[in-house]
Order: sequence, then structure tokens, then C-alpha cells
Amino acid sequence: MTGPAAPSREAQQPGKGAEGPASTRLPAGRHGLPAEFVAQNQRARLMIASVEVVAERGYTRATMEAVVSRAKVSKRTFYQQFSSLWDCVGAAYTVTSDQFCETIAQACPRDGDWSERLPGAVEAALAWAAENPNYALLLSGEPPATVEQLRAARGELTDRLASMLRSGRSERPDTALPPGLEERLVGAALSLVAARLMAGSADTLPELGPELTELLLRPYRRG
Amino acid sequence: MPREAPAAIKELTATPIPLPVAVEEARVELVRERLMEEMLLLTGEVGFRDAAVQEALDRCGGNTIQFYKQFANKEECFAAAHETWIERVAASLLEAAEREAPDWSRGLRAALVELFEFVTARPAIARALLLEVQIVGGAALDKREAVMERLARAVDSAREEIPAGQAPPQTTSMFIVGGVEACVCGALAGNRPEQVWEALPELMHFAVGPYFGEEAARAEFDAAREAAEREGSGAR
Repeated sequence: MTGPAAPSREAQQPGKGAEGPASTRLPAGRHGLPAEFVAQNQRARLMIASVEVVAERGYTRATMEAVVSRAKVSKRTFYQQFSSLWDCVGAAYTVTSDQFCETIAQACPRDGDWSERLPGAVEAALAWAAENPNYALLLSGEPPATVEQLRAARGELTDRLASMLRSGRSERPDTALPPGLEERLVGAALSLVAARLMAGSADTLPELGPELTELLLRPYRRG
Repeated sequence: MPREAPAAIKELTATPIPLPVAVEEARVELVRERLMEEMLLLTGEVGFRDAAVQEALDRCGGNTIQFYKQFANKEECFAAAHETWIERVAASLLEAAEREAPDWSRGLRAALVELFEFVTARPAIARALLLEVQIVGGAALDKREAVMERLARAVDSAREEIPAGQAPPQTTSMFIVGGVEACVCGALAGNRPEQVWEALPELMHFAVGPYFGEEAARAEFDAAREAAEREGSGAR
């Protein structure tokens, strides 16, 4: 993606202050914009629309037609970008996951003990989830077992978050913690977040911060 | 040409002989039970989205009249099946834990073993109950939340064994139940239900730690791992 006409990073990242596809719609009629820009814009609109459709209708009733209609693009355009509905949702998952992990990394100061850095990271993650409930539910809820793209993307997110937590082992070099501890902690944290989102209580997520931090810190604490 | 049957016999064969009420109720219940089980099996195998009522009927030898007498649609059948089976599973976990009372850690291990026995014996049903329910939503999802909370309350009975000053956060039990569920869902989604046995020592460590500290968690981890090694194919 190069050149001044490229869509902003926000426009490509579902959930980043997104107001829905309308916010990234192109001007009507002949606009003379570069083809690459147009394609990127349509791809971003389709990904945003797919997340909104899944949030509103659930995985069972989400359709490609609903995504196309919401994104205000043709089916032909859809198939130029994605091979199927799940390909589109999977791409949205990956982009959202990148953004979520980046949000956490940015909130985590590079200096200081891991246990001092963790609270800020948890706080930022929960604030992001509260601001972007549809995208947070996409990441935290269990995707359909039959959709390989989503299962793989979910596995990748778990691995990335677990890897971040694994830094905590440096605080207890003398203790051999179980190898899969971080995966268990990430699964539990995502489950807590998903439960709040499914209950329609996204706004209460930041309140979870101190307790979630404590639960994530406990295994790494001495004594 | 065969002779025509006497009128009295024709009348008898045209009218179904009414079964005693109790027998009829039992038959209806049996049909309902089979329909629900097939719907869960099919959902676990192909996903709720692709699970067709007709396919479930073909498998259990039922017909559409029987189905629509019992359920308004596929969602209602799934919700009813989910409620029946999740209640059975939850009851068996709680009973397994209760048998080990008052030892909380032994109760937790017994409940996990009970869960894993079910998951490995009936993976398609488990996939429908634990994974697909989150996709179907609606009444089944509400039921799932209620069961999760009930299990979490049982887990939280660990507080009775620890001094008030050392009590972990209020959300600990939901955190633990969610962590166990995520682990089981991961194994089911990857079509490797037997993986749950490998995770047993880690799950014991994960669940015991927040309440009783790292030392106790490590002891449970080692005990579960040693039991798994001793018994060869798993920590049963």
C-alpha cells in the first residue's frame, strides 16, 4: 500500500474508530481514484460489514449477501476480494487481532518489571474491547468449529497473547511453571470478556481490570 | 380375488387401537429424546448452520410430522436438546465432585475426569453443547450461562478452606470455568478430543493456584502427571 491516496490505517482496521462502512465509502460516480485505492477501500468496507453482520445476526444467519448489501458493493467485487464469507470474516479477524495486539504492546512500557507493566496492558485491552464490542466479540467468542480460517486465526491470537504473558516467567526463574499455563490463562481471560459482551455489558469491561490483572499475575508471583 | 373383509374388521383396522396413556406418553418422550440426540449429533458433526432437520429425521427414522409436533423449528429443537443434555452433564460433574467432599481438590479432579470421559466418549455431542451453542445463541446460550454460573459456584466453595485475607478475586471461579471450557473447546474444534487428558495436569495447576497458591498448584500438577504416566493412556 503506497502513495498518498492509500486509505488510512484506520480505514483498513475494523474497529479502529469505525463508524461502519459509510465512513469509508467512496464518492459516488466517476471519481478517478487509483484502482489500488478503490480495491483497498472495498476490501476494508467488506471486512467491516462482515463483522457487523456476524455481530447482528450471529454466525448461523450471516450471509455473503448481507455483507455485500451493507458494504454497498457488488457480489462481483466481493469475489474479487474474497473466496467466501468465511474468507472475509477470517481476514477481518486477522486484521482486528493485529490491531488488538498492537494496542496491548503500545500500552506496555518497555522498561520496568513485567508485573508492573501488566496492569497497563490489561487496562488497554479492556478499554479497547469496551470501545469496540463487535470486534472484541469476534476475537473473544468461540468461532464455529467447522470454519477452519477462523479456528486458525483464533489459535494464532491465543499464541500471541500467551507469548506476551510468558514474559512473566522471567520473574520466577527458580520455578518450573507448567508449559501450557499461558494458554490456559488466555483462554480464561477471553472467556470472561466474551461472557460480558454476550450479556450486553461491554461498558462494564474496564471494571474487570484489577481482578483480571490479579488473576493473570498470581502464577508468576513469588511467595 | 380376495374376499372383502367383514365391515366390523375393516372398522377395527381403520381406527388405531388407543394405547394406554402412559405408554403413549413414553413413546412420545422416546421420539423426542431421539430427535434431540440426533440434532445434537448432527450439529456437532457438521455445525448448526449446515445441520438439516431432514437429515436428523433420516438418521433416527422419524418424520416431519413427529418433529413439528414437538418443535417449532430447528432452533427450538437444538435449545431443548441442549438444555436436556447440559443439565445431565452438569449434574454428573457436580455429583462426581460431591463424592469426594470435603476434599475440594479431589472433587475438582473427579469433575474434570468426568467431563473428559464425556468429551472423549461423545465428542460430537460435546462439540454441540460447548462450541456450537456459542454460535447458535438464543435460549440455549442463556442456559449455558446459567450452567456455567452454577459450576462456578461449586468451584468457589474452595473459599471455605482458605483464610479471608488470602481470598482471590470474586471472578476467580468464572475465570477457572472459562479456562477449562476454552481448553475443551480447543481440543474439540481441532477434532482431537483425547487431547483433554494431556491437559489435565495443567488444568489442575491452573484451577488450584488462584485459591491455594503455587505450591499447592504444583503438587496437584505433579500428582496428576504422575497418575497419567502410571496409567499410561491418560490420567483416568
